[in-house]
Amino acid sequence: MEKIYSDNPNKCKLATASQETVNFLMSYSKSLQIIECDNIQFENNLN
Amino acid sequence: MELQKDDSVLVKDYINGNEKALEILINRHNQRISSFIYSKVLDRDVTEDIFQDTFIKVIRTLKKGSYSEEGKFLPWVMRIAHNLVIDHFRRNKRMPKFEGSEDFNIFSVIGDDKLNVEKQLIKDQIDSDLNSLIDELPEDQKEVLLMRIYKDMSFKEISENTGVSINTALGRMRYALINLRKIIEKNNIVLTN
Repeated sequence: MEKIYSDNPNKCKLATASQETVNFLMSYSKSLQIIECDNIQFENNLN
Repeated sequence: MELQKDDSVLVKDYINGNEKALEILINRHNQRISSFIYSKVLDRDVTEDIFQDTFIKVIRTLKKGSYSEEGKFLPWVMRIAHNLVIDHFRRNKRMPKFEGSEDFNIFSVIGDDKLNVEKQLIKDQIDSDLNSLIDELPEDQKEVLLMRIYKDMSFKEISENTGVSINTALGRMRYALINLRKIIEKNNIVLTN
């Protein structure tokens, strides 16, 4: 008899980072400024 | 219908100051990168942390202008995530994390000696009540009791300091305790923790 493989559900789990994390990253990106002086890069975080 | 911009175009836009481009990139690859991390660490919270650290690295590299565009944005981000997953496991190997189960809670066998806040409050209250009771004692008994209990002096030292015999000091201590019990019983005071 034909075996029905489709009965076996896909067990692969999908994950997504929360909106809170995305918002944090956006805020981090907006606050981060790179300033270059005499070939040295400085990171500035303006909150 | 809006045409979907290529990752490379969005990266360029972002480097040129368009913050919205980053949001599109994050949302576009969120599920794929998160699922990749989750498939390795099998923990939602750790996944969020590594995802966040991955994009912090991405943001810093892009803002510093160190990223060379070869049309491989996603593989590059995946490589960063992969390296951070390895770092995570290395860290955990050095400092293994123990998680209790429903049947066994590690804090049921490990604890510190300190009293909890409630018990500390009760103890402070008892100490203060006891001080008030000791104040009610006659001066000579009070003196012996304070030296013996609070200053941890021997009866010999007490007798030398107060100028009475050891037997008198012992007697005063005995009467001090009897009188304390009497005051406690008379006023129905409960001194227990």
